[in-house]
Amino acid sequence: MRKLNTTFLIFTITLILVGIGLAMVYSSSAPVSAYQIRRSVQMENPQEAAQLNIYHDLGYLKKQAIWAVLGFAVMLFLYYGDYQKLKEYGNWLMLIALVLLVLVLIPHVGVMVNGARRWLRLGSFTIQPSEFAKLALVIFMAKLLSEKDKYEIRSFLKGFLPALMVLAMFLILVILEPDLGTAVIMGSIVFVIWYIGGVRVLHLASLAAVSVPCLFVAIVIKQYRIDRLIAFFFQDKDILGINYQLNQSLIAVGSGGLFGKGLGRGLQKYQFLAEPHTDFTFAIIGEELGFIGATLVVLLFFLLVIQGIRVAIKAPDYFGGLLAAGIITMIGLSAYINFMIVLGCLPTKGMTLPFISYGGSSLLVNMAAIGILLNISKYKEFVVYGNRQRDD
Amino acid sequence: MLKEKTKPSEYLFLHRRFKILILLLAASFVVLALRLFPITLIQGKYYRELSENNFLVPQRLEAPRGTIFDRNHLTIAVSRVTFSVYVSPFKLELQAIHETLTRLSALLNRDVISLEDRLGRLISKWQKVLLAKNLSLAEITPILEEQYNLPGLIVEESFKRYYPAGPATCHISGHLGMIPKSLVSQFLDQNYDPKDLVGIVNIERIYESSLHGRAGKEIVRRDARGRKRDAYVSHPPESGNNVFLTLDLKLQKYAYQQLQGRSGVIIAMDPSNGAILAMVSTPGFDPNDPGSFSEEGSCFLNKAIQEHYPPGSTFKMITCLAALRSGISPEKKFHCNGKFYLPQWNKPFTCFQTGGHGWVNIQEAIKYSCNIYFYQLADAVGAKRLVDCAFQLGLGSLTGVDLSGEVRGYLPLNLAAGLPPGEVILLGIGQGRIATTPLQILNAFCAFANGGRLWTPHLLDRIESPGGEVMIFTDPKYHEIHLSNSARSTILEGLVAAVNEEGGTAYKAGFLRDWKVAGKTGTAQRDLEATDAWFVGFAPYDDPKLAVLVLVEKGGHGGAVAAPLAKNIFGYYFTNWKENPQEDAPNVLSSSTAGKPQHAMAMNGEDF
Repeated sequence: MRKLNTTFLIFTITLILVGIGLAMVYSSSAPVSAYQIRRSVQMENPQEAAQLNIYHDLGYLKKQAIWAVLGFAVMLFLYYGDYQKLKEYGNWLMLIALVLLVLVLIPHVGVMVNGARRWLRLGSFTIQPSEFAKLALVIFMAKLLSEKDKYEIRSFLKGFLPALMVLAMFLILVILEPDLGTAVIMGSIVFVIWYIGGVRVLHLASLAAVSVPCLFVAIVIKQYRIDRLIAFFFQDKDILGINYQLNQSLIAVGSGGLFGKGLGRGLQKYQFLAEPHTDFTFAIIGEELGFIGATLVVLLFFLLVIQGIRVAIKAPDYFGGLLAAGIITMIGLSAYINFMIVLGCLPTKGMTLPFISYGGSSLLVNMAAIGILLNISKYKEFVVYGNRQRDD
Repeated sequence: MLKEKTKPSEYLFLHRRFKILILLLAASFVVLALRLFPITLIQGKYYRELSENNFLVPQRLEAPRGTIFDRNHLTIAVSRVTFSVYVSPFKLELQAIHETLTRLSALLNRDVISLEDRLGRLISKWQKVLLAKNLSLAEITPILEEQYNLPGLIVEESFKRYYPAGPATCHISGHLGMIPKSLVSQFLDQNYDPKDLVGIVNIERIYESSLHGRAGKEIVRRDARGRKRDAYVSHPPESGNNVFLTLDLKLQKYAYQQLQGRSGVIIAMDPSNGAILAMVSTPGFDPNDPGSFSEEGSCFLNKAIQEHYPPGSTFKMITCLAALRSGISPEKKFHCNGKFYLPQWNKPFTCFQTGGHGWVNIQEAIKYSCNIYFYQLADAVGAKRLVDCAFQLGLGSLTGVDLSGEVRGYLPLNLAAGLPPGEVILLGIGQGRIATTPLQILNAFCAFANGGRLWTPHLLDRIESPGGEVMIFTDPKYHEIHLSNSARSTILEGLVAAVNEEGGTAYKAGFLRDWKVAGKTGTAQRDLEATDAWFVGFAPYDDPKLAVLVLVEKGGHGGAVAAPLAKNIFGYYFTNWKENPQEDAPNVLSSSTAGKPQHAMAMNGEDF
């Protein structure tokens, strides 16, 4: 019964979140997409643009729906497979992810948007290699740690250093894009895997002590990062300038009240809030679905994370446990950071909300991760206890 | 089935760490809830007010384009404020919108209630429907007075370009239009808006980057009824720079009047630096309304630089120069008996004076414009030297004037050696295989007048920032051409005689002797039916201050048609400028720049 519960809950919550995501992507992207179409027509043919009457467009919704179907297929495929195979592919996945991260940095191969090369073009779709890299890194780290015994893990040279070097490669490539936010998330996920995996607290603490000044340097060298930090510490200042986005985000969430303005009836998506369909979908949820809707989404994520942890604890083996913990950290942390940014508790930073924000790579990777999680969950019942008892 | 390396102790370890993580997780979600709860439920009302009653609407602030002035600070092109009236539904009841529209119908004197339908179909409440545009301040004032009874009203300022001189400056100022399709990406790279109007031709186009202002942005706070409460200008608009031209607008208008009803060209230039004082081409069009051009398609053509003409007798000055350079004695005489036969050429070349001028020297030939003399002179000089001399004086190449669409003209540079003698002697009187623009001819005369400096004709005097700081000063270029003093004085004698001595081709026009005008008429054959009337001259010949070219298409005889017009131009110049010594050309700016900073005047002085 318990097995059904956890697996079923994770599956159901995921589908509900994807469903809410599609509804919100539709609601928030329709005006944005229409605006972009009007704008592009205007650029090519100013005369014609005056007669153009497009105020709603389903372009983003259609793309997101295609990714959702694809993601669902991948999720089912991984659910019916065997996660132990991932252990064999771990190295390859890591290498492929590295190659993609290098590719994206090459001009004309990587697509430049707002001064950052984060996307690769595939026909009319773009993919974001750093999203795939996150999952590949989780799988690789789980594999790396599970292949070592207790003493190796606790040793600096044999356990910690190789893992640290792989992580460093990923982080440097991602920071070069530049995408500091994703690098911080990646580092945090791996940090949690290491912590759970049994790496010495001394090592982890010293690493944390070293990374704080590194992060500080990374912020100081780019003016826009300093600006964002300043904006964060003085949130009520310059609400028409540097704090415009945050202020609009708070207006969106706050104006929703208890019940919200109703799905599709939000006002902030009409050129007030930038990126309403990607990084700030949660603000639109708050505005249109109110406190109740926002709390529901938060609770769904909370429940998902709890179930994920349960899978990790009850996993049949060390690899499965670490993998499940990594996956659930990946999803939970992204969601949590996204909530906090929208609510003004963290500096403004582009960060998608898993399952809900518009973004194909993110959706596909997160659904794939859930597939793996479901798979681990499926195996736990009939092996776990025997296994543990034998070892005991 | 599992390859286990896991040690039991690690599992316990893992569990303990999991517990810490779960605690962290619970704490974080508590933090989240603590933040979400007050924003939505406690401050919800405040934010809802912000959202619903205080629309922060980013609005573009148009920047006025720079003004184009003439040398006396008279306006050639200026951006005038106009107003557009829109209505937006915001959060208004249908009844309120209906009332607004009814009132506006009365205020605007036109039916706008029919637009109610379009308002109803707007999806976003921010969209607006245009009711009226290009309203003047007088027309908008009654609406602004009523604005608090007109919920949903939006009034936007914009600028409309106005050319006070109308058709007189149409070929100088150019006009504005939508960004041409081929240039869209180029302009958008420079932060233009697709809706911006840009200079299409001439000064507006050439100095576009200076004239164009930078649009600003303001964020307007509107209340629930769509009324503007206050606005925060986040980026103030920056007006464009002002362009000062060397043009004298009064002279330009006067010249335009002279050509009214005819098709032709008048150019006035300062021979000492190539500054253009007037340049008129008729028929013109009204740049305030470029859509309404006359039936004649040629009204958009600036004939001074965009049309080819055979220069006719005005070219004889160059023939003379080529002859004197090639060593032919200034005393050399040729006989004119009215007809001239080339060997193996059965048709005679004729002089317009039946019976001929008899034995004439070079000065007399210029004075009477004797064709036979120049046939023989050209024959003696040869095509190569003639064409080379014309080329050096800038014929057949672009003058580089700062206007759009200048044409090159034509000189038989490569054919010179192989030209049949019949064509060579025709070249001697500026007919046949030669095509020039009027500006090229005038520029060549200027080079002759100032002693051998072929200047680049120019209209730009300087560009000033809106604050009066000089950004760019014109830096006219010239190149020296070989012109010996003796040759110059020999030819000048002929040019003076043509204007001031009885029997000279331009004598009957009645130039005052005091003006000391030297010039040459031309009656050029462009087709078999009619002749173009030309006059080119400069004055005073001992210290040239003004050079004028008049061309009347199909006007008839140069001396009878073009010279009197030129006389008027010279007369206007000398009566208007000589009376008031301060307004004389070199210091013309100082009287009107009295209020300007001292350094600007000093630099003006250097410029001239």
